[in-house]
Amino acid sequence: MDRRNKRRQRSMKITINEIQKKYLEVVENVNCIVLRWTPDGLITFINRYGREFFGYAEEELIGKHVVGTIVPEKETTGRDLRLLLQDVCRHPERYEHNTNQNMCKSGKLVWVEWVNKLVYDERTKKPELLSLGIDISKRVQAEEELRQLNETLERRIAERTAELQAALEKAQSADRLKSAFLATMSHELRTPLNSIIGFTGILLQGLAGPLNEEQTKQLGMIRDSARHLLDLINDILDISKIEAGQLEVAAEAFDVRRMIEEVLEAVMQQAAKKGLTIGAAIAHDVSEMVSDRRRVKQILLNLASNAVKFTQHGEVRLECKTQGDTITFSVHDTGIGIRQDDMDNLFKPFQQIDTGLTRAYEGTGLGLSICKRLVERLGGSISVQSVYGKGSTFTCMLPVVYQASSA
Amino acid sequence: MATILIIEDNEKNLYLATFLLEKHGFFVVAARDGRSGIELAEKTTPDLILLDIQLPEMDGYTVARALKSSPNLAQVPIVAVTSYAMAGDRERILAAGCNGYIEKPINPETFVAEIMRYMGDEGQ
Ligand SMILES: Nc1ncnc2c1ncn2[C@@H]1O[C@H](COP(=O)(O)OP(=O)(O)OP(=O)(O)O)[C@@H](O)[C@H]1O
Ligand SMILES: [Mg+2]
Repeated sequence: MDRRNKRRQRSMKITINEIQKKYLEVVENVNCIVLRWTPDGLITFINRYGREFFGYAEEELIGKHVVGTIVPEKETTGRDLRLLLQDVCRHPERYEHNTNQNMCKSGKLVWVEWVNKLVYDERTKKPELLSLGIDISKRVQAEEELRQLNETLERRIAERTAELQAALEKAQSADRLKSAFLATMSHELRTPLNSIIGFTGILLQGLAGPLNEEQTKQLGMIRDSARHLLDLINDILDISKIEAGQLEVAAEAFDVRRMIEEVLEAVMQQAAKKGLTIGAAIAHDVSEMVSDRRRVKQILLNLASNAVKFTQHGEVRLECKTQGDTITFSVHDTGIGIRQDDMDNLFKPFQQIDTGLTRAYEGTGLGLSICKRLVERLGGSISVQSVYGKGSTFTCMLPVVYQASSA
Repeated sequence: MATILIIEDNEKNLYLATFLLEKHGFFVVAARDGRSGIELAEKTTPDLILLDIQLPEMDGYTVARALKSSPNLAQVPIVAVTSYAMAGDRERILAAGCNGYIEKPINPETFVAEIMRYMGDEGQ
């Protein structure tokens, strides 16, 4: 009985020893730092992983203070670690999770994420801190890199935004300069033309005294050239305004018939000189439209004067009808026509079709490009149909009621 | 005889308008800038004022507003003469109190008739 008891005791002891050994092995070999230390900061235990991690032999650490061995006085962030540890000991419950900088024997600084717990030494019954730590230096470094990358990115965005802002301001001031330039040019060019056209007109009316035939003829030429110059100036200013996006359009109700009459009146003389028949066919339901009268008239006048200009025999006819929300104007002629190949260039600025006859027709080739832009600005479209040698029809469709958003 | 005040800084254009109007039997008084134009208007109470918009110092809009706010002159029609620089000018001209406007360059054949339209019965 006694012997049996002894044997049992011995085998129990062996079993306890084995279990202890197993636990120790686990603790020693686990891939994280296992540390025990007293509230005064003295190390009582550190596992193998921890020793190897920090690069110390066991005797270099046991009984030593954490600060100065594995804990630096201060973090690179400036945090006082001695104070931190005091606080950990005082309120371990607040530091269940804690990340701080640690130090290896080599002086290398590392980041460790700790889990801390207050435990009691079985023998002395004194409190100790059990801390498990894993190395997160790589993660911290990656985060730091990310942060720096973000910062660089933000800085670059800020720089780029500033650049764009500056570019925008420059463009805006260039735009303002352009419109100021246009306004000034418009005024400065017209002022002398005003007196040229005006005085020529006065002389031609005989208001300043009688004229002989030759004087009348030459003054007539001056007046025609001056008017031509005025048309050119107006066209160039128009195209510049359109290009600068500064063409504002008005929306007002006006009588379409009256406007068509005015267009016909304006080209009548020229047509009569060439012996052309000129007329209009206006559908009975056409009355008013809401748009920019001045610009609609300008479009039709351009088309009608082209028709007269490029027609030697036959007729020029203006047609107008409405269909739903759309009003259609077409200008039809029996003139020289346009080759299929030339159609594409028709609406580009400064393009006159080279027919070999080009010099026979005055003009800069701005008329149609202005027409196209104006029509589009007014929310419509323009197209052409032509049989070379037989004649052309230019058709322009516009909304009966122009709405600013429809453009 | 109807009196017309012309406010215009360009000498040649002023001569032109004056000549045309005098030939048609109007009595013309002229000023070369806005301030003296307003003074002259107060003194003469014309039947119509022809006002250039692009004037040095005080521009035509300001002149028109000043003329319209004077009790003696509020009834006098103002016709603006403008080189129609930008769209929106027309609205501004009418908003400033002008009764109408004529675009530069003026057409000597129709100029006088256009002005008479704004004069009611007073023109001859
Ligand atoms: N009705 C037409 N018949 C034949 N060809 C035409 C007709 N309308 C235009 N064209 C051709 O298209 C070209 C461009 O026309 P556009 O009105 O743009 O210029 P332009 O009349 O020559 O000059 P501008 O109108 O600037 O005084 C003309 O030069 C002409 O060759
Ligand atoms: Mg043309």
